[in-house]
Amino acid sequence: MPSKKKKYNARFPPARIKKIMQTDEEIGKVAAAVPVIISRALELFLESLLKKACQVTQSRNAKTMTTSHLKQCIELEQQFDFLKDLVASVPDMQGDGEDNHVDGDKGPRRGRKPGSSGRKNGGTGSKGKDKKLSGTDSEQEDESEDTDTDGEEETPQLPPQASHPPAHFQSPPTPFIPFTSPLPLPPAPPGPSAADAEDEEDYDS
Amino acid sequence: MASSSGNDDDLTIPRAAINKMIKETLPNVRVANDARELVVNCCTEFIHLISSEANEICNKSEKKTISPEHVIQALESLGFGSYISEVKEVLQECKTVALKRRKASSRLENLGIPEEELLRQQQELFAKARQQQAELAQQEWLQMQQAAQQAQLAAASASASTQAGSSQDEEDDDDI
Repeated sequence: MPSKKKKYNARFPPARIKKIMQTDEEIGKVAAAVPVIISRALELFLESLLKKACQVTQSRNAKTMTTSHLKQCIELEQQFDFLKDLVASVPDMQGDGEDNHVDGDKGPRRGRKPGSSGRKNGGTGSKGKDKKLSGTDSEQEDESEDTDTDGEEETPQLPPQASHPPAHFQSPPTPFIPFTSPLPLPPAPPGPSAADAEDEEDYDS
Repeated sequence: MASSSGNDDDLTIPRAAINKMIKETLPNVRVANDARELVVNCCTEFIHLISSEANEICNKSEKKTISPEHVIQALESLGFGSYISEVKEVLQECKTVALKRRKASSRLENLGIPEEELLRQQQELFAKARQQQAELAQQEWLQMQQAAQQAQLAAASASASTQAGSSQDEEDDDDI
């Protein structure tokens, strides 16, 4: 193919393709990669269908591709036989002298395989296709991480309350008086000071 | 059998994707709207064709899950063998991406801090905050103690000066 695009991002949504697949009740579990590769196959199929239909459009000297061009393309290509039932109701192109070779048998939904018609005998699939959604889940890997949450709580001991600092210590009296005149604690008792004064008197006498 | 049923939006390829495909494949050709609708239905038919064939192949191999290998065999048996090489490339990319995802997830587990470590760090921060608060309280207590000491010193010096004045008066009396 001339336009080969290797983007991993699928053009058609895989989830949608999986849902379309599983409208057929016989379809069970589907591997995760299957809708992605069917999306790629669908791209190639559409590219082929559109290019061949375009050849029909051009051969008819038309400017717009119509459903009739698609129908003729589908009828001419054996690869697209499975689409004949789908386009059976599409009108043929105007002024077309060719006979309509559409197969009138509408029993099987899908066309026969090219070169082989033994599939029906070998397959055990019933033709009753309901449009109900299948409830089966895809076998996808569950990547949920198992995290072990261990609640190890460390409560450090609070530092012990600071003990009362040592009591009043002797120091020479300072003439400087601090600005904080209102005292938070009661003033010292005058007893010891009086005792000091008496000592001085003893020295004098 | 109504082959064109199932036109629900959830059960067909999105129209925008079809329009984009048509634009890229036939850039210079106009396509009628009903032809676009027909192409959407062709896609649905193609998906059902491949799915049913792959399902039969899957059943014959006595498996329960349709695998990419079953799809590739279905393409071969239905006359789309020319698609297989590109389909296999996409399959290989799927496997590569899945493998990278597993490695990436394990790498994230290694690079990222695990939850236990996060909890431990959180509690360490809480402990440091409590310790800092305790230290601040202790400093305030020490400052109050120092203020009290200074107050006591000031009171003591005031009392001493008063007594000194009294002793001077007595000396004057003795001289006379």
